[in-house]
Amino acid sequence: MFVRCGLCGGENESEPGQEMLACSYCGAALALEAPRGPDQLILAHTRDDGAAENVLRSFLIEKERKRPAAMTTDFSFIPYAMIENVDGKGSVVPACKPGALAGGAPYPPAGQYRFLDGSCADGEKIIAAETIDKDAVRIVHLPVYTIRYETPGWKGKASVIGESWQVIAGELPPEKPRALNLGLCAAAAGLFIAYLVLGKLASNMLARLALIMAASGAGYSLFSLHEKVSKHE
Amino acid sequence: MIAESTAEKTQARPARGAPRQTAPEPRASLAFGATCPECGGSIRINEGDRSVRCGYCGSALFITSPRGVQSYILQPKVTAAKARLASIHYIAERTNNRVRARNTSIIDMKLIHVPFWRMRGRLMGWVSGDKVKLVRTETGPEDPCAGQAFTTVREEHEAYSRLLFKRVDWSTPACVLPCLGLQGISLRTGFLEWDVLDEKRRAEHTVALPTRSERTVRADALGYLTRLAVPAGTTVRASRFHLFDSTFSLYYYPVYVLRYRFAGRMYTITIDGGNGAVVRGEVPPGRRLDLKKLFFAPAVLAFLAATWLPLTVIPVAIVYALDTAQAKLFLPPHEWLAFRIQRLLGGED
Repeated sequence: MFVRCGLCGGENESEPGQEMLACSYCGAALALEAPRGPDQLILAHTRDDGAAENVLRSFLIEKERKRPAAMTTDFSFIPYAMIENVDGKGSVVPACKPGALAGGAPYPPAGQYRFLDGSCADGEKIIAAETIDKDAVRIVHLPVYTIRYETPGWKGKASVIGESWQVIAGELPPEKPRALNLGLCAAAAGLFIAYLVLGKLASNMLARLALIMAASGAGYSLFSLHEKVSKHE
Repeated sequence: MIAESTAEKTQARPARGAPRQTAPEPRASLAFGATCPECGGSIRINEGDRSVRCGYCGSALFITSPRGVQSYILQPKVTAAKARLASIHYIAERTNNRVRARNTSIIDMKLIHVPFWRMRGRLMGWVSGDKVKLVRTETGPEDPCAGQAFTTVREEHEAYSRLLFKRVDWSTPACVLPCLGLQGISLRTGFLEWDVLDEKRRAEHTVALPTRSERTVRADALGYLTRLAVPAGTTVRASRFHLFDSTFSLYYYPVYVLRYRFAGRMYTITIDGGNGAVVRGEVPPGRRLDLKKLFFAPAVLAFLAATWLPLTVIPVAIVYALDTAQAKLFLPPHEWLAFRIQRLLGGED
């Protein structure tokens, strides 16, 4: 935001949180006037739909959910009021009607904020703050990607907050059944056949039990030792 | 010598009344300037300064109402390339060389100066309550040869009260950092070279805005110090603490945040910009291979099959029946078998 020097009239740019600055024309120390209400700030962010969709994919992989398809992304800067009560307890609440995200409120990301001046790039939308709580100390417009997506037999939406890449989702698609690890299955089948052959060689039940247990114990010990050595290397 | 500060001319916030329904007015575009009262020369005052010296006439000037808080910034001592290298080594080390640089793709890396509040002051107060003490008593039998001794443990409550007066130097993040793993910085040691954060340095670096206010931090500090003053196992009945002569300042510490992708999933690594150490890092999870199950489950089945073949089928059928009864619906046998084998052997995602 531009501030005019009270001594020389020169215009200087101030940043959020700044209370003193030196006039770039006359060099005088300038004490900025306190705001009459909460500062309206916007988090600097360049729209990147692909990055937000990748973050959502990563989130669903982490939660072992079905992979999303047919993603439609909508982007806007949504206002949130940072509230602080007299005891110093803080919270973040939406400052506009459609601002409540299903799944919880975001935390304000650590990043560069600037004063809201209404300017934005093409394809970006800044939603104006409508209701401001009396205890609000700051209104921050956060970049929010609203992604509608589908998985087989399921439709839903999730929100991704720019810069912090926090994912907020009210509900998630069903869990993805894990595919069988064929290599491990083959190894287990091979071991089963080997033990079976050994068991058939034994004359009685006790000898069979001893032989199979000895073989499995030896295999387990050798493999564990191999794992430990490879980890140490 | 007193320089007349213009901070007093500022207007106070409106009283906390009914909620505003419209957007507030923006910050007024006028700033009040201060000059040296002796020579009229321009003076430079940083945020939080309490005294300055005029650069023209050399007069020592006292600021009657200092504005803002003193802010300091640390220049990064580690280059972006070194931070990248440190994170690659970290990933390889934590995954036992299973994940290397060629398998991962680094999405982005940014240097950000994270603000920390530093609070210095004096804490004074008192606490009273009950200190719970466990008393172990051994009771021996009348005849030493008759049997063993009995041990009884009972709780003893004794009154506890303490007066506390100590100096405090405490730091905490000034913004919410759930995934960066930063909790505070060691400021008492003097080897870090902090620079005053002025407009020039503010423009040069990516400086994060403190989103937690001084009031919030004061409340947090008081809660933390009160907990620290009470020993473990003490029930607090009443306490009162006050912070005196407390001064707050902001310290901006350089941190590299790197994001990389492996097997479709994203991970974040935080690197200390002061010494290049990895503060917190996420790495792909290891193989979920259970060696015991892999070697011993086929052994049990092979023993049963070698003894009498139907013995192998009976336990499988029992487990299937139990699972079906628990799920209260028909489970297709092939799907159930695949699920059970997966659970038994584990393996990759």
